[in-house]
Parts: sequence; C-alpha cells; structure tokens
Amino acid sequence: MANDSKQLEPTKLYQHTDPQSLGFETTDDLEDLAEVIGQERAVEAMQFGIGIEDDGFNIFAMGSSGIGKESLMRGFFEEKAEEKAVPPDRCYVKNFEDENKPRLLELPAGMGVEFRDDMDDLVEQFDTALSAAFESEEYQSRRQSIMERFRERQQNAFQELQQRAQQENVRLIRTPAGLAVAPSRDGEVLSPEEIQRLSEEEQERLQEKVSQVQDELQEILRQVPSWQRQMREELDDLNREMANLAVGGLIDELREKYEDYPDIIEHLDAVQEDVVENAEDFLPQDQNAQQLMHALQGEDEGGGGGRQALRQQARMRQYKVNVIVDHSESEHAPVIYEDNPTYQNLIGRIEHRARMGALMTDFHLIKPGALHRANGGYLLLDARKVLMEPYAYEALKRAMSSDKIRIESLGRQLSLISTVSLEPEPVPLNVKVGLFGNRMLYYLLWQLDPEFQELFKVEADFAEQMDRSEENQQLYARMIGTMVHEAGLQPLDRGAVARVIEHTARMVGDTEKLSTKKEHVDDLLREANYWAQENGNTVVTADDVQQAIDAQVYRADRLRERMQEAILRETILIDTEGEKVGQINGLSVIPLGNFMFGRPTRITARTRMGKGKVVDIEREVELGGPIHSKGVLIMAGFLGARYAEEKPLSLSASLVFEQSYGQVEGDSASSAELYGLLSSLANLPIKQSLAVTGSVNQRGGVQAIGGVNQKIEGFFDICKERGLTGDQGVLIPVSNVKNLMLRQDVIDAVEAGEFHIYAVETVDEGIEILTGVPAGEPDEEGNYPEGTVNYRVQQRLVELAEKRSKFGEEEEEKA
Amino acid sequence: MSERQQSEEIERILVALDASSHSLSALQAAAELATRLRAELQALFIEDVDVRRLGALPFAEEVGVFSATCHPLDARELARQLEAQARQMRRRFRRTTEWIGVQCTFHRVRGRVVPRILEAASEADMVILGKEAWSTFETGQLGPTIRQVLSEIPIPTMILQAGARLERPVLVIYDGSQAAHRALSAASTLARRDDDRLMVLILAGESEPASRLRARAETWLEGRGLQVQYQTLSESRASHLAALVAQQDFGTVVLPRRCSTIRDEAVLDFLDKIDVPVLLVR
Repeated sequence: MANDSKQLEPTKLYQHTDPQSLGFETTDDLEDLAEVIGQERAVEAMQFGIGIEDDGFNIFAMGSSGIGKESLMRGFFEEKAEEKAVPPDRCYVKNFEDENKPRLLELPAGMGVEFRDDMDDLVEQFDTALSAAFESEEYQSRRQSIMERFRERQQNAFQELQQRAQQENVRLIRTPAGLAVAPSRDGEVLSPEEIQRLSEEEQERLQEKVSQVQDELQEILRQVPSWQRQMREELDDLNREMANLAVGGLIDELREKYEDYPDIIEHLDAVQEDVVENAEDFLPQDQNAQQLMHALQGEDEGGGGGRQALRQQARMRQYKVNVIVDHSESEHAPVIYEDNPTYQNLIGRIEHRARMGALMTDFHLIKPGALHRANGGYLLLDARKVLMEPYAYEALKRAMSSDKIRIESLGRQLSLISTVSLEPEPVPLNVKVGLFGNRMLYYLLWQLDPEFQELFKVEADFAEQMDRSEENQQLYARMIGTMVHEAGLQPLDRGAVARVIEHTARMVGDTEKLSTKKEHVDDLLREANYWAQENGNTVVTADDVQQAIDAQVYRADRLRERMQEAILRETILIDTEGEKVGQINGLSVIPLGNFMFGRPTRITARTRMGKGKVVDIEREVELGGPIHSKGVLIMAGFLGARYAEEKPLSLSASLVFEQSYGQVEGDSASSAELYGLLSSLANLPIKQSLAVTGSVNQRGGVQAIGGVNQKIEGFFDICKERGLTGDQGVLIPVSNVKNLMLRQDVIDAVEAGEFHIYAVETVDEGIEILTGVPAGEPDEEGNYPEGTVNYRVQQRLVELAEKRSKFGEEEEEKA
Repeated sequence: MSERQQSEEIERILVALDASSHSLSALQAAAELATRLRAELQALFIEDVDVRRLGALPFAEEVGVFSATCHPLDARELARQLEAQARQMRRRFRRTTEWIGVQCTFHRVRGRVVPRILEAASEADMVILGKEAWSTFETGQLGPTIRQVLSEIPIPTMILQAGARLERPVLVIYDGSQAAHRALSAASTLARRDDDRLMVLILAGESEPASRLRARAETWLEGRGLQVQYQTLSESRASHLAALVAQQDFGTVVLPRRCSTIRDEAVLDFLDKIDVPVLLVR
C-alpha cells in the first residue's frame, strides 16, 4: 500500500551513537583535548588576528551565547601573551612646570614600584635632612644673625629718630591707625592752649620741626618694606643653600641609580629645584622670622604653625610617585578581561577628595583603567556590555584610533564641568582588543559604524554545530572528557558519553550534526554528575544523563503540561479519532527560553463560490505574520495553477487556526491548510488521527520545517494520553527525516505499530494518506481519473466556475 | 594645704592694658592666674592722655605704619578710634573672664600711663603687663613704658610678649637673697599642681657657695609637694640665663630683682631676649 511506503521505519527516527564504537570504558581513559573542535573557521581567524600586528586588526568573535567565544579567545590570548615581553611599568609624577598636567614616566617592568619606594624613602629622608639642616646651630645662628641685623637696622632707625625728636622737643606717639608727631615739653605733648600762647614765629618753627621729624618718620617707614624684602631674600638664599646641601646628596644617590633613565633624572632635577625653591615650607614651625613678620605686620599668628604643617605635608606628597601600572609580578604580557567596561573602568579616572567642602585632586588620584592594565598585551571585552555603558564604546574607539589613553572625566568631556582639573600626559597604547558578542551586534556595528570596520578587521565566526562524523564523535567524547576533568566531575561511562552526544544532536535538531554550545554540554554534565551522586554511582551512566535531561525538561515544561491538559479536558478541541471534512490537525512549536515544545492546532477550511480569493482569517485580524501569509498565498497559487489553469478560480475560501489567540507565524502549517482546503473542495473527510506539518510550494511539493521532533512529540503525547489506537501518526516532509531524533517512547510506539510517522514529498502523497483516497494523476488533457481526490476538486471548481458564470449573466440581465 | 593658703599673698591681680597684642596675652595670663589663685582680677585699660591731646593740635598729622603716607589727624575720627579700641578690649575682657568664677572688674582710665599703673599697683599684689604695650615702635624688645614701670614698681610683676602663654615647667632663679625667697614662694605657687615640676637654678655668687644655697632652697621647698630639680649656674650673666631658658624650653621664669648676683640692667637685658613669660619678684 502507498501509505506503508511512506511510513518511516523506527531506525529512521533516531540516530544512535554506538557506545562500543567510542572505544573506551570511561572518560578517565581519554586524553585531554587541547584543541577546539568544530570551530576551524573561528580558530583560523583568531590565529590570524593575533598574529598580525598591524593597526586595526582587532578581533570580533561572534556567535551564540554559551558557545565558548570568550574562553577560546582568552585561551589564544594567554598562549600568545606568554611569548610576549612584559610591558613597562607606568607612573605619574608631578609636572613641576604645569601641575595640571602630570608627567608620565615609563620604566622597565617592576621598576615602577622600586622607584616609588625610593622616592618615598627620599621624601622621608627629606624631612629628617631638612629638619636637621634647619635646626642646626649653623643655620640657626646665620638666620638669627640676618634677622638681628634687620631688627637692629630698624631699631636703630627708630631710636635715632626718637632721639632727634627728643632734641627737637617733639614726641612720636602711636595712634590707633598709625604714628603721629607732636610738639612736647618735658616729655609731655603741648596742649592747644600752650601752642596758642606761643608767638607766630615760634609756632612756625615748631611746626617746621614737627614736619621735619614727620618727613624722616615717613622715610623710615617707606624703607621698612624694602628692608623686610631684603631680609626675606637673604633668608630665602640661606634656606635655598641649606636645602640644597641637605637634599642634594640624597638625590645624587638616586641619580646614580637611575642614570640610564633620562626622564627620571629630569624629574629628580625638578624635585631638587622645587625643594630648594620652597625650602621655607620645611622650616621648623616656631621660627622667629615668622613671628617677627607677623608682629611687624600687626597680624595674629594663631594657627600659622598648623598651616605650615599642612603645606609641608602637601609638598612632601608632591614628590611621591603614583604607579598606575605595576608589572613587578608579571611574567609575560597581560591578558585582561574587564567584566564591567564602564567609561571609567576602561580609560581610567581622576578621583577627587572632599576637603573643607571643596573637591580636590592631584596626580595621586589618577586611577588606571582596563586599557592601562592591558597595554602591551590583550584586552577582552563583551561587546554588549561595552555598548550598554554610556560613552564606553566611543572612548574605547578613540583610544584605539589614536593609540593613546587620554584620561578625561565624563563631566569635562561633555562640557558639564569646566573647573580646572588634571590633564594627565596620555599613555601610548599598544593593545590587541578582542570583542565578543552575537552576530546581529557584529553586523549592525559593521553596517552602522564606519570606525568599527577600521578597528575590528578580523571576524571570528563561531559555528553553532559541527558534522556528526565518526571522527568528530571521537573528538567530542574527548572534549566531554576534558570538560569532566576540568570541572572535577565524576567520569562518564561510554554509554553516558554516547547519550550526551545524541542529546547534542537533538539540541541542534539534526541527526547529522552536533551542537558546539559547550555551555549547554557543560550544564548537562554537571547535572548528570549530580544525579549520579544522588543515585550513588561513582561513574556517570547513560541513565544519569537521561535523568538530567528529563529533569531539565520537567523544570521547563509547566506550560506544555497546561496546554496538554487543556486539550485533554477538551477546552481546546483536538480530535485524534474519526474523520472530518475541511478539518485537520496542524502542528506548531512554542519556544520558551531554552525549551521548545510542539502542540497540535485544529485548522479548518470552508469553501464557497467566489472570486478566487483565499481568506486567511489570521491575517485579516492581524494575528498572522508575513511568512504565514506568504504560505497561504503560495497555496492559492498552487490551487489556481493546478485546477483552474483555463478557467477562472471561482472560489472563495477561508482558513483559520481554531482557538488560537496569539500570533501565528511561519509557513509550516501551509501544507495542513492546503489539505484542509482540498478536503473541503473534494468533500472528502480527513482522518483526525493524523497531524500534519510541512510547508508547500506552488508545484505542490512539501518542504522542510523546523522543530520537527517537538511537533511529533506534541501530537504523540496527546494521543498517548487518550490511548494509542494504532491509526495515529504524523505527516512530515521527507526532507525533515534527517532531523529526527525522537524520544524513546515515540520510537517504542512506532516499533509496536501504535504510532506512525509518514514522510511525504508532495501534497498528493499527503492527501492520499489523510483521506485514504488516491490523489489521481492527470491525463494528457489535464483531467483526473474519476473518484480521485484531484478529480473531485477539479469537478467542484468547474461547478463553481459555471455557477458563477451563470450568476453573472443573470445579474447582467437584471441590470 | 589649699591653693588659696599657698597664695595668700596674692589676693588681687592687676592687668594693665593697651590695645596691643601683647596686652591680650597679658589679659589671658591674668585670667588664668586669677582662677588658679582665686584672686580678684582688675583690668585697667589706660588711654595715653597725649594721644587724645593730639587731636586738638592745630597741625597734627598721622603717618600710616604700613602705607607711610601722611594725612591730617581729625580729632573726632581719633576719638572714635580710641572709643572703638576701648570697646574692643572691654569685650575681650568680658569674653576672657566670663567663666573664671572670681571677681573681675574692668576700668578705663585716661592719663599718663606709668603713674596710672603705679597708682593702681599700690592696691594690688601682682601686676601683669604686655612686653611692648604702649610702645611707639614694636621691635621685639621691652618697651620703654614697661621698662620705666619695672624700674619703679614694688610688687611682683609678670611680663608677657604677644602670643606667649603660661606654660610649665616653671624655672626660678635662686641666689639666697630675700627677693629670691619671695621668688621661690611665687614659683611654687605657679608650679603647684599634681606632679608639676619646678626647676631651681642656683646662682652662686662670691659670698655663698652653691651647695649651701641649694640646701637652703631645699629646706624652704620641703613639704610643698613639688618635683624639684636643681641646676647651678656659676656665672650670673643674663645672656647665659637667656640661652639656658631657650635650650631647655621652660614655660615660665620667676626672677628675683634687686638681688646680689644679677644687676638690674642684666634683668632688663634678659627680658629683651626672652620670649617666655617672666615674673619679676622684688
């Protein structure tokens, strides 16, 4: 019988992996697999990308998540990094010429910290050496001498003036705002009356004396600032001389040590010059000169000592070194993965410290980013994360394009803040960047961002599946063994390995392929290991793997169960017995996260006279997607071409997915819809014990669809619950046979003849199985043998065309 | 023995003030001493009569210390400035003595400074003065007005320069004279506090050897609960005294006057050089 010839043998329903063929007992017998399997293209791209040193040849690894892009790229980077030299350490120091632009120093690996420690020691010694110098008797007495000289000079000037004033019978008097000169007698200021009593001549003489002393007083007071300046200069010279002597020797030691590094020598020179120039900040706090200054200037000197201590501390801090990249512990070039690639985490940041309500910063608060740490090596980033962080992608590109890391706060960059901040000297950048993400991201970036094309010239495309050849199965087994070893799991016996391999084929829905999504395999191995332990097995068996798979399904299939329940309770109407005209069981698949299940859907078709239009109700109410609509239109094309080539297609048909309340998309139900339509036109009932999947083309060929395993299992589960009758089954396209990796219970039912899988190539083959009536081949004139499905369809369409023609004439007459 | 009993000779402290920063230090020390000795505190703000007179002179002019410029002296402006100074000192006095818990009075007088101080001192047991108060020019040395007061005043007088505070330990110079015994008494009063130290510097002259002087001082200080240390200085030159004080970082120095070993000029010279508070005892 024709039907039997289309029925698939149980052997076609599942492609087993023979455990015996694997050639080992447990995974412990297997040698670890160093290479990556199934990713030849990506591996070659990666090797090329890492090998080429030219600008812009950075790598974008693309593929599904869980496929191992990051780990593979990291592995390659780490391998290559071991061959590369350790990059230099980098430090920031104060730029004494422009303190807003800290200087960058590059030192051989490990020397950054050494230099920092040396500078710390030096600064510590500064304190001691300068204190010793400034507290020495030599310094104190020279200083005292300068101050005494100044004091004496001023004192002498005032005393001489006072003596002269006394001789002239005038007195110098302090007023609240200054000094005044008044005529006196016996040390007492004359009263106005006494002055009045003097002759005019005497008064004039007196006034002249007062004026003369006043002029001299003014002259002295004018000279005081210049004396003070002179004294300050002398003290400064002394301080400089002492400071130079105190720190010169200390700095010379470092000069000798770092003589091969001109930048450091230059910095040491600048430090020495700064210490000497600012020696006053290192003076002991109770210096008389300051007191004298304060006294002369009439200032209250309270708190001056505290201020000076702060100044001294601040100055000491300026001579220290901020090591931003330290490679003292590194053995090779760095490989950095930045998990949180924010703008600041990528290019570094300048932190601030709140002091007295103001935000302060200096070069010590420059913090490195991932680019600094990866400089000279490799940087690994998740493209999606980079794009999600504001301005991070732009900053990354800017650094890569300019080959420089320029630390700039976002606030400044966006011109939100214009206060004075630091502009650290940019760091020269030499890094190979590896981005990883999904394909859509890569193609979008490539299409929309011209810079991306220039910066990421190497695409490493990761395949989601690999061929299921004998050789690859062996390699896959070794990969499983390696994963088991690395994760410290119990070994798997060969049966378990075979079951895992079979399951990965099911995951990709292809008997001839294996999944390369290592993450899923890893999850399955860990879960199987768990169940093996629960079951008291020291070796993971196929049963443990199966238990893990069943548990995964169980955890995810609550919705499937609810839908199945709705069908069994006849809330959703699905017939699995009997025959109906214009009604058929279609099959759809519902993806839920990582889980996918099939469910039957009743499709009905009604036909009547009309203008050749097939109404897709799903589309009319905007519940049908474009691909679904396309399927319906193809089907209409098939109808017109086959049955109404010479006559008008005087048909109006409506198609609907019964009890479907959501979006319908895809063309996998187009063959079912066509069968329903043919049944309606031919007035032949369709067996409700069968369900159908497959798309059709305009020539009536049945084409492959996705999710075939889940669809078959979805219908099988309903039939099984209701009780298998032996008539039930599913029609699938022939081209989907290679995708069959069905559940064992389905295979068992087929073996027992309780369930059937039919593989059809054409609509005619399908309709024969569904109706039990031959489809019929056309003769030379295009007529079909009587009693066949096609004959009945053709006759019906002729009938409708004639009726329509007649109906048209009557209408014309009426008009 | 209570503090009051210890200091029964000092019942009233006089602090004479002008508007200088030296006087502010004197006021601070006076308040502190008054509290410690439970003595009455009298502040005397003395306005030099000659300053007030200046305003009335027909051709009086004022020269700015900082600007060195000259401008006519306006009598009303000068009066306002003097008033402001007095008000400010009164406020300072009130703030300083607000919580000290002894009787405090503030008087403002106008006149000749030295007679006013001497007059007020006749009713006090101790006088406290700023080192350069009422000076025309501040040079870091003892001002002429204070110099004159010191030459005439008969009671213990403390001199403080701007910024100085009463600190410990106390150093007392002892040469066996009557004044030296009074200095010992005053020093022990200043130093007396739990585990406070007193340093006695024996100035040995020709008439009496250092050992005997020390024995006498020890006898005198016995039982007063002080940690006493002794040091001997053979030469009694003031320059040595100043160097010793500078080296050893003393807080307050008590010095007898009119004693056999230190001449009066040397005392004044010492006061010129030293920047810690000095109590002179006759």
